[in-house]
Amino acid sequence: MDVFDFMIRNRAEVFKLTLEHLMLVTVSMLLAAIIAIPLGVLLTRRVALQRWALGCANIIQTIPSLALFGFLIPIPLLGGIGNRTAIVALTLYALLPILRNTYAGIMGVDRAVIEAARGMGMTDRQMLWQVQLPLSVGVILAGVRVATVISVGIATIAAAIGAGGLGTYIFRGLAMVNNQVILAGAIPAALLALGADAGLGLLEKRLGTRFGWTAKPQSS
Amino acid sequence: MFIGLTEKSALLAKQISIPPERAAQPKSLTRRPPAPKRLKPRGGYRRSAASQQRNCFPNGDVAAYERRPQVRPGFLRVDANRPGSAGEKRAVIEFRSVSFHLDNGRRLIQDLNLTVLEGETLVLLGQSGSGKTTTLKLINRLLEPTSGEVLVKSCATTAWDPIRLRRGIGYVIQEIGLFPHFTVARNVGLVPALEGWEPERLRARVEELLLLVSLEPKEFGSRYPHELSGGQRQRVGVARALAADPPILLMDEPFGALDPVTRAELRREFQLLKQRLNKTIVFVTHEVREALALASRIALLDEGRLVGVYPPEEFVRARQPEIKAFLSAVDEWELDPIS
Repeated sequence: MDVFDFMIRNRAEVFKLTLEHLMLVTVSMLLAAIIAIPLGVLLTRRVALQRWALGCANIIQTIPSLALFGFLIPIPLLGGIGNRTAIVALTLYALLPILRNTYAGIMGVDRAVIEAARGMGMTDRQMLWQVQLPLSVGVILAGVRVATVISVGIATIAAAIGAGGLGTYIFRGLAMVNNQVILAGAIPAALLALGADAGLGLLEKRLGTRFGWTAKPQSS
Repeated sequence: MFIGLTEKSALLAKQISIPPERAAQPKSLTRRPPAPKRLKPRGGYRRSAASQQRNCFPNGDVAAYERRPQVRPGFLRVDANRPGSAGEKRAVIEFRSVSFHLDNGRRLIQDLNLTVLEGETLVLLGQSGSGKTTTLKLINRLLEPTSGEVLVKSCATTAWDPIRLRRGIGYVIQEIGLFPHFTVARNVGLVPALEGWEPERLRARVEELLLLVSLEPKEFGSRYPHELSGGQRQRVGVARALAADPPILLMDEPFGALDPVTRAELRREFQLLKQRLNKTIVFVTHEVREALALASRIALLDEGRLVGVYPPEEFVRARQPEIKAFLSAVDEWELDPIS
């Protein structure tokens, strides 16, 4: 097919753009996880914050991605042209799924287990690290997984503000009215999303089994 | 995690010894550690002057506890002079005019006065919603009284560091609440592990406990809770509560979710167990037969009020309508297997 011909001919560029794309997504996901997981834990401890934090994250989520990139450009430090702006925007988008899942995962831990833990004199910190986080790691990772897949998609739009990534091909193809070039960006992006989904799914299962989260009843 | 921080600072503050002249200063200057905010009822809790004046050694000063004067018989408001209840025994848990209301104003416990003596098994009996579980949770400070006070080892629960208080009290609940991601051995050894026991001592203790509840340590120690039957799980729950050898044991319908045969079996074993262990036990149930079989005394609760406290043999003869209602239900349960 012509698309694959194009990709093979330009494999160096495809590879470079894919790496850029991956970098955008990885960095922003790490940032989002570092912010959203502790924040989610905080929300389970400070119920009053919950409405505000989830509300803010919800609002961010509703801003169209292209508009968010546009908004960020004039902001000093965070914004400007280039991948820094893109990382900020992607991080903002990833906050909500991770935040919501962290909160839901921790609140979803069996109440009897929590009561037993408290009744036996676990401190709040011990309960968090030994009980709540291990038991909710599967749900939290599911949030990270959703956020990652979403940001692989949104990251293509980051090319519009000069952040690079596979979106470069898509915008170039749109400008040239050339489907092959569009697909040369879209196909690797789709593969990246599928790969990230599968990889994180595997990790989720591994950790889940390790911490007993997905432990299924076995005949003994 | 953030509450953890305040608790840590509370522990630190407790370690700082307060000289007597400072202790006499107003409350705000004596660095009384702040109670964790989450546990506090909306209106705050009142502490009576009496409990502040009394010497409290809640944090492990056992020697001071042993030295303290014996409870005067007249002090026991509940049937201290009745036959069958040893008036000279020490009160381990006392409820003094305790009320507990929910934030929405619903009254779960009203003006409860109750004393649990050392080494006895007090059964809290009552229908669903009569406040049995609430009463139990007031003892280990999972709840704090709206008014009045609960004394454990003659210190108000609100004066105790909740963590220290709870580690000294075994707690068994109906849903058991075993940690699904821990093996049976780790579940049982949880409190000793939190207390920082050495691995060797911990392992020996876990083995001892599993044998105590008739589970073969080699076979069951490495299993996960989901690999156990309901009866086995509850045994593990009991073993876990006994792990750090707490003098007090709270049991909230521990055999409630089991089938009648397993239930009777566990009850029989528990009867033997409690003779061997000599613990002060508060046992919640809605089943009269269980109460009659296990209790040294039965406290009947009805809609958050204490109807009365009776030794089992008196309970059968008592004439209050609430008790009669309960006893008439027994006849319908004739087929329930019991030891």
